Amino acid sequence: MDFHLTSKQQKLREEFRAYFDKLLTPELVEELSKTPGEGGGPLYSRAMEQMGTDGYIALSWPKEYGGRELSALEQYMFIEEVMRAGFPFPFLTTESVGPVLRDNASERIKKEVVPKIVAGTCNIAIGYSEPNAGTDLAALTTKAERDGDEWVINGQKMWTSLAHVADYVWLAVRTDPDARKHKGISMFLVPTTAEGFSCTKVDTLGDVRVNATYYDNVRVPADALVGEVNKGWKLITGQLNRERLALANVGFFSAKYNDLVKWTQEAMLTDGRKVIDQPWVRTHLARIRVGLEALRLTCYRMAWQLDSNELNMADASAVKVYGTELFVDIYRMAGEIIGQHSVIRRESEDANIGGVIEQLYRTASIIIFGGGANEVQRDIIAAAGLWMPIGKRMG
Amino acid sequence: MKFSLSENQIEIRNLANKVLQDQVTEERLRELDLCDTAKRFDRNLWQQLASVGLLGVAIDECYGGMGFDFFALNLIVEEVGRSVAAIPIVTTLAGAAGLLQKYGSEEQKQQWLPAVVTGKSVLTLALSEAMSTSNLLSLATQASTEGEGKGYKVSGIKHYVPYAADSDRILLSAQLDGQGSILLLIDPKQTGVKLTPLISTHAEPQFIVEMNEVLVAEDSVLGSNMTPAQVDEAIQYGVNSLLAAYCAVGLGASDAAMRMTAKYTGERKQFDVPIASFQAVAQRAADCYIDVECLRLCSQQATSLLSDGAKDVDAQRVINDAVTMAKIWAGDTCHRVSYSSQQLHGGTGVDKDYPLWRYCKLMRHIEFVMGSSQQHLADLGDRIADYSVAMP
Repeated sequence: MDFHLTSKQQKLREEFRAYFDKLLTPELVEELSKTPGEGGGPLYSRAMEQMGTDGYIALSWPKEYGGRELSALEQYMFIEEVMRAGFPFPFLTTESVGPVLRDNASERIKKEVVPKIVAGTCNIAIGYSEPNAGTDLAALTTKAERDGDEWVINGQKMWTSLAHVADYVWLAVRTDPDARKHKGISMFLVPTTAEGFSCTKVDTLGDVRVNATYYDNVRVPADALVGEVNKGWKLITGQLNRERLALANVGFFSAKYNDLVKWTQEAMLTDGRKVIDQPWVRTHLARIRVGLEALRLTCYRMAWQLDSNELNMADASAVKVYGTELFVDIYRMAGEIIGQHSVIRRESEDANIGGVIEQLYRTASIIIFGGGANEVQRDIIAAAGLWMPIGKRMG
Repeated sequence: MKFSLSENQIEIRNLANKVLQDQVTEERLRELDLCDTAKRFDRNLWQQLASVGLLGVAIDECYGGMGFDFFALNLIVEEVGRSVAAIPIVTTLAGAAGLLQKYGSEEQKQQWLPAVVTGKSVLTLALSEAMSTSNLLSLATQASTEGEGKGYKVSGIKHYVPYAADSDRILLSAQLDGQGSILLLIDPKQTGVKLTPLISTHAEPQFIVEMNEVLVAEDSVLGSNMTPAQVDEAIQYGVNSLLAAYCAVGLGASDAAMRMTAKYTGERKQFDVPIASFQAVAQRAADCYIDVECLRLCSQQATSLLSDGAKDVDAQRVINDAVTMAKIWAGDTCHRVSYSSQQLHGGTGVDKDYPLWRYCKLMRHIEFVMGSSQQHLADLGDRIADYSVAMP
C-alpha cells in the first residue's frame, strides 16, 4: 500500500491547480455565483471554449480525440481540482455521455457532436427521470416509435438540469412497450431545437434552476439512436460509478475547509477571543477534518479500483452515501461555527464566509437523493457488500 | 497511491488468519474464560505463532525475526482482532519490542528481541496513567538519578498495564528530575514493584503497576544518550504504534461482527422471511459497512505512514494526525458496529452461547483504550488551532 501521490500525480495536481487559478477570473467567479452549479453565462461559455482550446476537457479520452488518456485516478484528481476551484464543469457531458457517444453513436453524431464536446462548445442535458420514474428509473414511459427513417418521440421528462441552455438532451425512452422493464429502453440524442420539444422552468429550494421537458411528436432521424435499439439500459448504467464518484468528490469542500479554519483563526468575538478559541469550535473543526480524511481516502481508493478493475459495487455506493451525507453534516457544523451569518446569503452587503456555507447548505439536500437515492445505495451495499438477501425491490 | 497488498503481505495475513482460525476455537476461549482474568493468556497460541515465525514478523533478521515492517505486523494484529484471541500482541510486539528495536542499545536488543521472537519472553509497554490525557508526554511517574552511573529510583503508578504479571520486563515512561522524560525497563518481580489486577469489560489481563523507589540500573534505560526531545519523540512513536495497533484490532473485530450480523440476518426468519429482507435491517447493516471501510482506510493509512517514518517536522505531524484520526474512527466505528450488531441479532447477540458478545466487549475496549474519540477530537482541534491540519 502507498498513501502518497506519485511525483507524476503531484505534478498533475500542481498543473491543474495553476490552470484553474488562472481560468477563474474575478469576473467569472462573480458570474458563476449568480447561477450556482449551473454555468450557462457568457463568461462561462468562453471559459469552456478556452478549456477546449487548451485541451483540458477530454483529458481521460484517447489521444486521437485530443485527450491525454488520464487514468481514472488522474481524472478523479482533475475533477477534484475543478470542484476545488468551484467551476461548474459539465462532467456528465464529458465523462458520462461523451464517451458513450464517442464509442456507440452513429457516424453523423460522431462527426457533428463529439468534436464539439471536446471543444467545449456543446452542452448536453440528461433526460432520465420522469414524474413517475425516479429511483425506479426503468419505469419510464416516454416512448419513441419508428416511422420510416425517423423516430417519433412523445412524453415528459422531469428534473432535466441544464435543458434551458443545452444543445441536446441525452434521452432515455421506451422503444418496446411489451418487453420487461429494463429490456425495452433505448437512448437518443435529441437536439433542443427540434420541433415539438419544449422546456419549462422548475424552481428549487436551492435556487438552482431545473426543468421539465416535453416531447410532443418530436421527430429525429434514425441515426439519432445511440447504440442498439432496446439496449439502452447498459449505456445508462455503464457510467454510474464515475458519476457516483464525482458526486462525492472531496474537492467540494477541501479548499473550503482550509478557508474556514483560517477564518476561525482570524475572526474576533465581541469578548476579545477568536472564534477558534472556543473549545467546541475546535471539536467541530476536528469532526469535519476527520470526516473529510475518510472521504478523501475512500474517493482515492475508488478511483484506484476503477483503474485496476477491482471496483466492488458496494464500495461505489458506500462512497456516494458516505460522501453526500458527510457534506450535509459538514455544512451544518460549518454553519454552527460561523453562527447566524451562515444564513446570510452571499449577495448580501455584509456576507462573509457564511454566504458560501449558506449556499452549500441550502442546495445540499439534492445530493442525498440525486444520483441514486441513498436508501437504494444502502440496499446495494447490503446485497453486494454483505451478501444479505434484501428482498424483491432491487428487481 | 496504491491500495493493494504485496504478495508477501498477503501471505503473512493468510498465515496469521489460518493459525488464528484453527487455534482460537469457541472451546479454547471457554477454557480461558475459566481462568482468573489476570491469567487469561493463550500461551499455546502464542507459541504456535512463534513456531511459524509470526511473532518476529517486524523484528530484524539479525535478532531472529522476518525483517518486515510495522505494516506487516498490523496485518497480523487485525487478524487477532478478527479472532478475539487472548494474546499480548499489541503491547509486546507493537509496543515494547517496536520501541526497543528502534531506540534500544545493542545489548538490550540482543537480550530481549530474540526471546520475543521465540515466544520465550513477554514484554509490556506502560505509558498510560490514571488521569492521562491523550498527550502521554505529561507524566506523574517520577524518576530521579542516584548520581553518575548509579542508576535511577522510580516512583509512581501506571494504570491499565496489559499482561504485566506475565511480562519479563515493563517498559515505562517517567518524568526525570523535572528535566523531561525517560524510558526505563523494570522487572515486575523486582523489590518495590506492586501489581494489582484490574477486571475490565474486555477480559484482558490488566494491572495497576505501583512503584515505590524502584532501583533501575543505568543499562535498563532506553536510549540513555538521547536528548529529552528525542525521548519525547520515542514516547510519541510508542503512543502512535499502540494506537495504530489498537485501530487494527478494532478493524478486525468490527469487520468480523458486521459479517456475523449479515450472515445471521440472512438466516434468521421472522414473518416467514429472512429479516435481512427488511429495509430497516439492511440499511443499518449498510451503515456498518461504511463505518468499517472508513476505519479500514484511515487505519491502514496511519499504519503505512508510521511504517515509512518521518523525515521532518511536517511529515511527523502528518503521521500524528493520521494516527489520531484513525483512533477517532476506531472509537466511533467500534461503538456503532457493536450496538448495531447486537440490535440486529436481538437476544442471540447477548447469549454467551453465541460468539458476538466477545466482539462487543473487545470493541468496547478499543473504544476507550488510550483515549476516547472525544478526547482525540479535542486534541486534533487544538492542533487545527495551531497549524490548521490543512486538506491537501
